Amino acid sequence: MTVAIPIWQQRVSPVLDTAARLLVVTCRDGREASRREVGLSPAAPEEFARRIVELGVDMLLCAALSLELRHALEHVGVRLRPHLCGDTEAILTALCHNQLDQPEFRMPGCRKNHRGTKVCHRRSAHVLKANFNKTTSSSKP
Amino acid sequence: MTPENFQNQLLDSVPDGVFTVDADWRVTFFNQAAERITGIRRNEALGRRCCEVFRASICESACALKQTLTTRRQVSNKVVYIVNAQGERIPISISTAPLKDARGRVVGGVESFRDLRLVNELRQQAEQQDSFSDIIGRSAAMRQLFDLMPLVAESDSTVLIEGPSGTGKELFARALHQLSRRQQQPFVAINCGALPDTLLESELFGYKAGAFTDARKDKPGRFALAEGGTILLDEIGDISPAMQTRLLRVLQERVYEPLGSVVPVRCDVRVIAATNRSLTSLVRAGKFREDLYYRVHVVRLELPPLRSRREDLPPLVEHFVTRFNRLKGRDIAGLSDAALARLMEYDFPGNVRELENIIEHAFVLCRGGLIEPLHLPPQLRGESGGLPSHLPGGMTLAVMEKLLIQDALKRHQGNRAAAARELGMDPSTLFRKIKSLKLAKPTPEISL
Repeated sequence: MTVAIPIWQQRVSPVLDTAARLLVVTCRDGREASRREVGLSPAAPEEFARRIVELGVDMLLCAALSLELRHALEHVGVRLRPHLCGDTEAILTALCHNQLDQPEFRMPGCRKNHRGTKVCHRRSAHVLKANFNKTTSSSKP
Repeated sequence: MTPENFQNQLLDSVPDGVFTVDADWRVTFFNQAAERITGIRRNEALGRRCCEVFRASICESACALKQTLTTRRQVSNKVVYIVNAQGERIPISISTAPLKDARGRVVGGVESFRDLRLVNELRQQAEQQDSFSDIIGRSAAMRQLFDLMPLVAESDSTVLIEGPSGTGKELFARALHQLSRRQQQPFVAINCGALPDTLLESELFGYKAGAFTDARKDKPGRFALAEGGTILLDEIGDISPAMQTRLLRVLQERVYEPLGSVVPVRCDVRVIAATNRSLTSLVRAGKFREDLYYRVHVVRLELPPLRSRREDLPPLVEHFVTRFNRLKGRDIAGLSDAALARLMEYDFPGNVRELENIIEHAFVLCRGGLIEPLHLPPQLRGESGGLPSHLPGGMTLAVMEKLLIQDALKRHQGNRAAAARELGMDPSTLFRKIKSLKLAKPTPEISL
């Protein structure tokens, strides 16, 4: 499973639409197998989404993003976990430990989950965790 | 009520969003308008990093607050966008200033921001009212032309467009084509003045293989390319008598022969002729055939020079600023009052084309915010060193100052703040000078 986080000053970039760098982490057997940083240039939402797909990203963790970009990413099947803030390493660790719902990672004004329904971070995190484990176990050789 | 509460209430009453940050970029104040524009509640915003609350397009790359705290200088009217809590991109204009303590030490920054959605909406509405098929104008002369255009376009008559260079003759011709029943067919423009006779003839009517050396295969002319549509014969006043004769035949009989052919070709093309010269004068001087003149002068549109319709300057400036912002990926907010005043005083010998070049020039020099007089080309910066043409020589400094202040007040209909901005002085200084010079507030002109 490959997870990506837009990164700025070792933290999640505040706005995905204008992020300049992306941290791409691949996990195998529940462990980090590789990581790299790639540059992002300003692009239309469709172009941005295409680039994310080209990078092989399964799940994108980010802070704020525009509706246009969200729709473009969802259209190409990238799983999104928006409205996160904080240190990227802490977020990756929290993802592995199903702790992304902690208030310290929640952006101000985040009253809806990534599907646009009312608050249900616990549930969405469980789903993400389940997906994460499922993907990592299915990618075992 | 404590002074702090009073300040908070005061800032809550303003329509612009305002927030402050401390030296660690944590939000320390967040007013009601900021809550409304960002969709984030005050209690959620306070204490959080400003980029997580504000989510602006420039947070990462060109934070205005950071610029202010580094340089100790204010940033004004920078146009950016934020992503609000609902994920909507909100265009805003931001201004920043450093916050200082009692000892004058910088302890943080303040940022105010204005929601431009309503402004943009109003601007679009105004643009729609001030334009016609991409032609901008709100003056009476332009409105008259706009009223005529649909009627002229509907008819299939030949049209003569007269107007100085840069007034948009081709734009009008294109608009006529777009409004006509021929809109789905081609629009072809040719500058008759730019080509020598022989070349113009082959360009207009085409040629057959073998018509001359190197004519290896047939080439269709502009009339053939415009078949069913519209042809614009620009600079028609510059064509030779021989070409005038050939054109006359096309306009009279709607037939022509390509070079090297003896078979007449019938054409169904609407002809629009344009010139920056007065065809009437050319006819009088014997340089333009009278019969051709009457053939092209079926319907005549005269485009006024920009200097005679100065009220069109603000919408035109706005149009070009928006266009260059889009083309160059910039965020210039517009022109300052002082810069606009310089444009209003200028004669624009090159008309709208020159105005476009002036704005493009300003885009090169202006890095953000408003275009100021110093960003304008030298002829508009007033660097000639001499007296302005309307000021007589031999005056004392005090008289000259009085005249300049009177002039600025008149131009801004007595608005002292705007006049002060243009004169580059503080409004209170201007107020003192008005008082000491015993200047009366200009009264609006009333016509009976």
